[in-house]
Amino acid sequence: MNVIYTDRLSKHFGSLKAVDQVSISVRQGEIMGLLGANGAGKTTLIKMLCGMLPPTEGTGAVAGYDIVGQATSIRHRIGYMNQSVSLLENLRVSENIEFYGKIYGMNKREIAARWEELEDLFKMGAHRHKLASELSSGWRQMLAFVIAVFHNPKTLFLDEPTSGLDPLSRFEMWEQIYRTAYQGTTIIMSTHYLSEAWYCDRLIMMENGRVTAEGSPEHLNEISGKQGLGQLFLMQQK
Amino acid sequence: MRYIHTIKHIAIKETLSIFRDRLSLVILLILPPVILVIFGYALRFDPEDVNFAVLDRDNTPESMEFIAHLDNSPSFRFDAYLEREEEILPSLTYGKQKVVVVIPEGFSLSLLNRETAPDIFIDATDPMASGSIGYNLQQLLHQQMEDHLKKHGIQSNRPSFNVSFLFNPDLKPEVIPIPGLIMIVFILISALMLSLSMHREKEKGTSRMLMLTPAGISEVIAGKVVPFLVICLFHITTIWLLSGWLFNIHVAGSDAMFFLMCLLFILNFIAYGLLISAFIRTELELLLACWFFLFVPNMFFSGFLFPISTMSPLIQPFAELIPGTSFMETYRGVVLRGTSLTDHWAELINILLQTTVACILAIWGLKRNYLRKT
Amino acid sequence: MKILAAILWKEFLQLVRNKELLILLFACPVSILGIVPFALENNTRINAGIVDYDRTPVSRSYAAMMVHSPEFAEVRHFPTIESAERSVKLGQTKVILVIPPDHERKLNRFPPGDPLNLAIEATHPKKAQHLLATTASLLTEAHRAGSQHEVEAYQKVGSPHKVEAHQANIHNLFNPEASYQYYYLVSLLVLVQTIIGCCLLNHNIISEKEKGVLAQFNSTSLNRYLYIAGKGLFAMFVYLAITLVSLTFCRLVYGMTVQGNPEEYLLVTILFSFPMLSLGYLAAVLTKNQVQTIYLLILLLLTMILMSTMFTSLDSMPEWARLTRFFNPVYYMLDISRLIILKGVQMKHFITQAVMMTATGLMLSAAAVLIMRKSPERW
Repeated sequence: MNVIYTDRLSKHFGSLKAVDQVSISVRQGEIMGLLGANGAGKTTLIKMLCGMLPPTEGTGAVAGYDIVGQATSIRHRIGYMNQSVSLLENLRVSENIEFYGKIYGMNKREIAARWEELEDLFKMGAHRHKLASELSSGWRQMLAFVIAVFHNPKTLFLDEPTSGLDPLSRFEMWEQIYRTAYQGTTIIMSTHYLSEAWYCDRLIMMENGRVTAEGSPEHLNEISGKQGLGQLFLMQQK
Repeated sequence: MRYIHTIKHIAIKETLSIFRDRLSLVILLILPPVILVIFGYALRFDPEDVNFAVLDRDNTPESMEFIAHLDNSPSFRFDAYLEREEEILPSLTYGKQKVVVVIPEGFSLSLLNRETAPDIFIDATDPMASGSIGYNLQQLLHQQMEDHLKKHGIQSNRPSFNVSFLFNPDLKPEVIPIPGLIMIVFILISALMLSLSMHREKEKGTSRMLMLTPAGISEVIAGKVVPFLVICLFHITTIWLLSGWLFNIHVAGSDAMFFLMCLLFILNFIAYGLLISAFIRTELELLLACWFFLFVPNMFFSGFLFPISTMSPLIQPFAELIPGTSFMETYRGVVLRGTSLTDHWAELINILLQTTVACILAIWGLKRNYLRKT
Repeated sequence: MKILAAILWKEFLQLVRNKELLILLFACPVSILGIVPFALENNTRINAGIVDYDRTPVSRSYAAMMVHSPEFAEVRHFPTIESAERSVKLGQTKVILVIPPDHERKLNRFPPGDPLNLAIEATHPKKAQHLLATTASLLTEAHRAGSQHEVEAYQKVGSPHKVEAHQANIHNLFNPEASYQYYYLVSLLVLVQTIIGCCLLNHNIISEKEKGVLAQFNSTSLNRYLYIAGKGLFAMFVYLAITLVSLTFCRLVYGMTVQGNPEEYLLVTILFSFPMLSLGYLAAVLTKNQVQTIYLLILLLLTMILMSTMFTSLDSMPEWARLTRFFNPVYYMLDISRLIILKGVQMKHFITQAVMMTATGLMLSAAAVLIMRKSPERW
């Protein structure tokens, strides 16, 4: 079953076509990777699917809701992790999480139970009482991820979740991503790292707002003549 | 040579970034003349067409003549007749009138004493305005009395004066707000805008990039200051032109002195702008620091809004030190009284000293803090 | 309600943990109210000069009266008019009295002698008028004291008929001592409320916008209007707290009390917060970062404050400038504050101003909401 689909979705900013005639579909429980250079349109596409930006042309739906007319309903059902890792700096880790939990309508008991569930999983217990501004960049990104999944969304949008992390932190982040996907959450994430592309179930390559290639990593590898995704990526850029 | 070269390129970079931000362009180029023109005309301190009510107990042609005389003057406008004394306080409290004139029975311009003189009730919540209203009323009363006495061949015992108003014979009202507005413009551009630009650079991290180049802190500062200095020089010219053309305020002394004077004060405000940007951490702190350490002292304690002589004796020595005070005094001297800058040596020394100290502290602070993460 | 409570709690935590902002918010109004009123004591003392060509007891009596008058700080004698004018030019003297020769001999005689000459430094016209009024009044008094017996003599013989001139009896209501302090304390109070009200919410939103926090919220189910309303509500509480602190400070330090109903004043303060917070919000919606918002706020606040009658009276402004008051919430707040604090007026007498003030708030909010709906990326 397709949780997300778009039909010739476009977003123009004046004469700039940030997203141009993108038609994609994502199945439930899939990890879909968006791969592309800077300015390819990944973040803009994600924002449209989250209902944050209205499209200029085309249609789309997330979790059965139209991205144009039912954006509010979409936002109730998704989780989102910002590229710039936006946290409430003067609030503690627990306070950040509690705040977002309340926004999604969770009561104190539910928040406490969910926190108990996730605390060990994400090893955040030791940082519970720290201010967000006091965390290292790795833990800040982990906190942003926890915030995105705290309310148990069925669909998760991650905008470069491992950007700037050291290899160990990236590994730990992917552990969490897999664990979340294993529980049935559909994940759409953008990434720059070609190595991470192999971790995804399917990939969409974007260039200048357009989809240039789509398929599983193995399939795309075949297209490149088994020269690797990197080669295919470079070929697409050229 | 390399030094000049570096400054030139930093200045070009700064100029480009100013001109590519529409809002800062509006503030830097258009706002100052707009402030000068709009507020130069809008800020006046002499009330006109003040509504007054009359309780006329005399009801004679003489009392009517007096009321008409007041109404015909540009300062007052007749609004209502009152019937009883009890109406006076409500009229001034709730009504549109600022003044109630009670003309007593037996009012006579030939024989004005405590019993026959009119009683004037003024809403004095605004003491400046009420002072002017009282003064204008007295003048009108005296004028009418003199005319009346002359008509009847009677000589008044009141001494007559030949009054000459030096340096501003027409009592042009623009001379009050214009120097203050010029000061606000200088603070806005040379202190606030410059310090915002410095801070922005630090916040974005580009200051660190600059520091890692062969450019030293003094070249960076000089390069950033140059475009703002040029913009200020442009505004000195527009101010000089607009003052003369629109407000008929021409420099009584030397025009070169006027430009030099403005330049000195701009440099002083630039130094303060750099000093503030050297030590603050956030934009809100910068805005509040500029507001409380630059705008407030220079607006309230410089003689712009309230004369220095009216201030508490405790405050006056500090008020004399404020750059705005020196600017107001020097402006009035050079522009209105035709003095030269050397006649204001005390003010100039004050400004030069402050500029030097502020610059030294600013350079020290920027060297220390500019590389730090915000 | 739960979400609103969560937003208020979050705003509270963020504020109390930002110590620098907290200090600035409370210290700045107190320092303005604590220092600026010292500029308003109205101890006007004039530096005068005399050029006495008469050199008689009468002319010396003028000098003596000026020296002994509390209105004059210094009275210098100059040998010539040129030396006196030079002193005025250098700013050392503000008014010169030139007593013509034969002044005493021709006093109260017919034909009258040359009048006294007053030369007044007029680079500040308001001050010049005050100098003229003070000096003329003192000299009139001196003249009358010196010539009273002459008047009686003339009145007895009947010619030429002279009258003793008198002035109108002036009564200053609500401020008999013509003190500047309370009037401008009210102005400063409104100034503080204007700046805090406008900048608080604006800074809050813009800093979240810059950090991307707003974009994060945009992806949640949080209703943006509810979020802004929550922020606005919290900002209003802070603004009220600062107003109360400022009022208490004015009472303790200057003895200034609200002559009218304090509850009504607080209600009006709440009403005023609406246009100010809306203005701050509008500026935050229109701009992308702190620098732009500072530029915009400077432009708007400077205009509103200067045109609000905070430092000039409405009667002194030209007609076109007076019209701007209909769109200026600061003007209405000043007007109402003066009515309640200085005159003790009740609400029913300023309901129009309160309604107009609220209407400007509605207009500003509507504008902000419209812009936000049209361009949601501005949020």
